[in-house]
Amino acid sequence: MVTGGLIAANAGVLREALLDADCREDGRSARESRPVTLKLEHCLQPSHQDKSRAPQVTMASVAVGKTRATATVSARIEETPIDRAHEGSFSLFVDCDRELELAFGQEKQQEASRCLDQLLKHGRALDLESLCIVPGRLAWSIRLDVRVAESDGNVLDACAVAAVAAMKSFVRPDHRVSELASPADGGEGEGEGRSRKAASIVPLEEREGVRLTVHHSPFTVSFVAFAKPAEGGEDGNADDEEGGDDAMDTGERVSGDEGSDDEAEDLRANFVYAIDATLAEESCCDARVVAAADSEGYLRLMRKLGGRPLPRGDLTLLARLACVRARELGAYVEAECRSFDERSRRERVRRKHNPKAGAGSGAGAGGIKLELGQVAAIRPVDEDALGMDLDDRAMAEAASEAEAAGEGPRKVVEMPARPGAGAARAKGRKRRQGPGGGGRKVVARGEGGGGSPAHLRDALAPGYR
Amino acid sequence: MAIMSYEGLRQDGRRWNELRRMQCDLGVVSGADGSCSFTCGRTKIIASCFVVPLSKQKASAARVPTTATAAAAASTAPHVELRVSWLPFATQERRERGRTDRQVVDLEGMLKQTACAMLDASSAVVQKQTASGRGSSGAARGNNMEVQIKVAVLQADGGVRSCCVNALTCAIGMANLVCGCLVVSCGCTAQQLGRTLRETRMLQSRGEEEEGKRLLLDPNGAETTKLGELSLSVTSAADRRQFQDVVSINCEAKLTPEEFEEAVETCAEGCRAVSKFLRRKLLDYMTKVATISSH
Repeated sequence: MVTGGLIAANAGVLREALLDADCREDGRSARESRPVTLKLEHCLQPSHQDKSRAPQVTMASVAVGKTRATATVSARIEETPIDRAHEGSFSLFVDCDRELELAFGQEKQQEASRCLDQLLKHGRALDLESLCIVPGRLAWSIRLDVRVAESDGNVLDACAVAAVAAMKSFVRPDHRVSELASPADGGEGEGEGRSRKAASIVPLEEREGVRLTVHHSPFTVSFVAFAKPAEGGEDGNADDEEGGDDAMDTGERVSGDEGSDDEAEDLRANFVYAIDATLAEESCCDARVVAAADSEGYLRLMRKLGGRPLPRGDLTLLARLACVRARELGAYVEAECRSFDERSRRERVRRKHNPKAGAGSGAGAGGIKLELGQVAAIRPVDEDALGMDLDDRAMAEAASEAEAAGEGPRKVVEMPARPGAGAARAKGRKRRQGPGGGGRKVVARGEGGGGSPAHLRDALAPGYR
Repeated sequence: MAIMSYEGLRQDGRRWNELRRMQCDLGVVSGADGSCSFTCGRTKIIASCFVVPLSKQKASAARVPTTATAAAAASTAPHVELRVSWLPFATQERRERGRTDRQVVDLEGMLKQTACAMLDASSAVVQKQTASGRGSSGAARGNNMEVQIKVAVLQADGGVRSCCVNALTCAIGMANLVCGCLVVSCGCTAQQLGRTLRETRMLQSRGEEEEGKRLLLDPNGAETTKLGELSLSVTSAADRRQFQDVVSINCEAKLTPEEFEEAVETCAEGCRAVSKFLRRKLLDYMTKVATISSH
């Protein structure tokens, strides 16, 4: 943690280097931002009491330089908000570690929290109407927890990227609405006398989850401004702002009434804007501007509170820069989310077909090492001998997923023998055209050949019972 | 009800570029060093400003620059405490707003930083004019004075942020503190008219309106809820070097950068008018005080 004294001592050096040589403490130029890395994962909610029934949450960890933030999205069924009967609810919390809070300051944390609140909640980034289950009664409630793990400046941007990425890749389980016949169903809607309906969560293993509808994905871009010294040196620094000069000129033209415009321009304070500031830069800057734009290039938020007065034309310049940067970030996050979806889909298929391996969150945690496309052995299976419930939903899903994963049809895949287990052949799988159902179906057969549907389902979906 | 009629008049009979009627009374709070009641249409704000000696506790806390948002500015700007109270009857439906209310916290943070920027003498480009020091009410320079500001929102009908800033400026100006710049504020709608078919037809029928004159200056509550608001606070220095520089800005609507630029320019025009009004009011007050004290 950099202390105030150190910054005060270095402030002059930092400023001089930036103004004169366009060089910042980590060797960047003023318009360069630090690399952003995003990591996404599905995990079980750590705070849940019962580990086996813990709901799945999505966590996005973002690192911008040394700044790190994580965002966790979780969902549960609750009552609808009292004033909006047709909507679910979305709540957002930003917090950081205790000792970090001391260094970081309550104010800044609040500011980040308010910005995200404005962007995501009040800016209606999330479609809340699709979260409603029974109007006026039950709805999904989405909770987003943003946690700052380490702060080296520009916390807000890291938080925004994490929040958006987590919301985009979150999958909530589907729900099943039933007329309240058996209150002990485990649904959250029980115990309400007037309500005739109850909703129960269908586990993700059983049915494909539902994505959140994210209308737009806003990314914040923070800038800090450093004033150039008024006397001299203007011409030397002019090339720092290649796009900036024309924008600033427009501001000048409006403000300068008539006559000696050149003179006014010389005397007017010029500013250098640094994107993605570090902690030291943030603490010795003259003004801070937060802009937010979505990936379509619309400006969503522009906020500057106090600080040195900045020329008006510069704000437009910053708005343009923010749009460009947000588009970059949007493309990056989109790509990451897509590859994560692909990865998690594969993992799920693998876990379904290989239940013991997928006991933990990560697939292949000590189990059969079989890649998806790999076929161990092929043998024909007569359909009548299997005697299975072909209409099992989970099976149908597994089929479509397996197909999506690129397996050839009409094959039975036999897993190779497990190294430790006694069972030589763990599982066989067969896909074929169903006679009545029309869709593709997958049947599996255990070693013993018992193959009752319930047994099968349990074997394939370890978490469900 | 449509935001704008076919004749090009808004709900309250203004044209797109007309401000609401402003009224500014100085010295409404007896006992305060500076106070102002600022009314703009149906929005009414009272701001009062007290200059008190800085307590030891706060002085020691201020000396340790933990966050150091403005390490350089801390030397010249006095310690500022600001409280906003949003009265429950301010809006049409009665609503208690506590200290943790989102809107109140937001407003408080923005006003505090604006006040800091205003009182920070080093932000002025020309140091020698302001630092000559003619502060009458115990020039709050150095670190031994604290400025306590209280802002009460009595009625809120759009443009609350801007009105608060204007009231604050008057209060600080009346207290005659050493300040780097006076700040005036004005808002305009963030989204342009003409998004809907009805509005487009209306604009076509008028014909003479050229493109881009569809932002409404100084929106009231109904217009703000429908179209969003961009509120801009700029310096009102007569000095051209710092003419209408942006002290704070807040825009929470969907805009393209081009629309943003236009909205900022529109606001700046409004700010110019507000600035003229406030300066005249302050000057009137100062001449009155000078006349009384010279007798």
